[in-house]
Amino acid sequence: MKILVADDSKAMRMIVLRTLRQAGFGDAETVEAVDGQDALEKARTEHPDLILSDWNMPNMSGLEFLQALRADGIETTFGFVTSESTAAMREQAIAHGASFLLAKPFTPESFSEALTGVA
Amino acid sequence: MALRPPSTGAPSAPVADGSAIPLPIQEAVRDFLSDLLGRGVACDKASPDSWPDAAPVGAYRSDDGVLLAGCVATVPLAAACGAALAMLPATALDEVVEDGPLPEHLAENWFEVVNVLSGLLNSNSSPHLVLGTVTPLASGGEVAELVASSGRSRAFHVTIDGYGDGLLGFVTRSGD
Repeated sequence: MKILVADDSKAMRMIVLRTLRQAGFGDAETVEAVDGQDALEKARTEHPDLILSDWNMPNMSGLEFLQALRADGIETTFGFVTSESTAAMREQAIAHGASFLLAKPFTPESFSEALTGVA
Repeated sequence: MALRPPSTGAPSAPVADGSAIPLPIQEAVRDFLSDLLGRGVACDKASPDSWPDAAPVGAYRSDDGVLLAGCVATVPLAAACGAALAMLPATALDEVVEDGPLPEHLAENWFEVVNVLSGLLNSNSSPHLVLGTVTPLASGGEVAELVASSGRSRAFHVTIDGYGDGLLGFVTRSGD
């Protein structure tokens, strides 16, 4: 499995990758992106099986990234991992094709639960 | 169909009242930071008389850009959290001076911690808050005024296993 992690914070990308390992995805190949635009380019070239994206990112937000992906016909499983988790955001995320929105801080257990059935 | 009063056409003024914003209890702060940093955290209530000039203050603003809440910490705690977040060796804190400034690489990580801490202040029944800036208290301005004000506040003494301890506070703006 190949997982693309998009977050403008290097520290948060490290935490997502650490938690993925703790949740049982230690064998996955991982790709990192520093913003939405970088993530879109890597999604097109790396063909990940799963995308985990922050919501607020420079150059292109997570939501804009998702919209662009779907407009490209890329149906890769997509989940938001973000510090905000309002009901409105969840609705927006799902409406645009995300499978889940996981709020920070997360644990290996919440990660595993969110990914069950989608990855 | 319910009747509505005629619109005056004038835009409503931004809400400048943070009284509905929840202030976290110590257990919530402890668990939140422990989950974020992936290590043990201890948290006790504290009542600091004041905050050092170098203390970084996170400014949380409403969707209208109004400053409604703040998060302030002593430099040692901000540094400890910043190092823990990136899983740096504890020796990364050797260069940290108690009265600041916060080293840049740790400041970047502390910004992320403060960003995630907004989750403790957001609720379905209070204005939506987003982190704007994190600046030293000595920078002054409305952020410093908020910290010094008699607005609702709570402070804690926080210890991050393996990294260090310090003070963390949250303050909300009272209605004008």
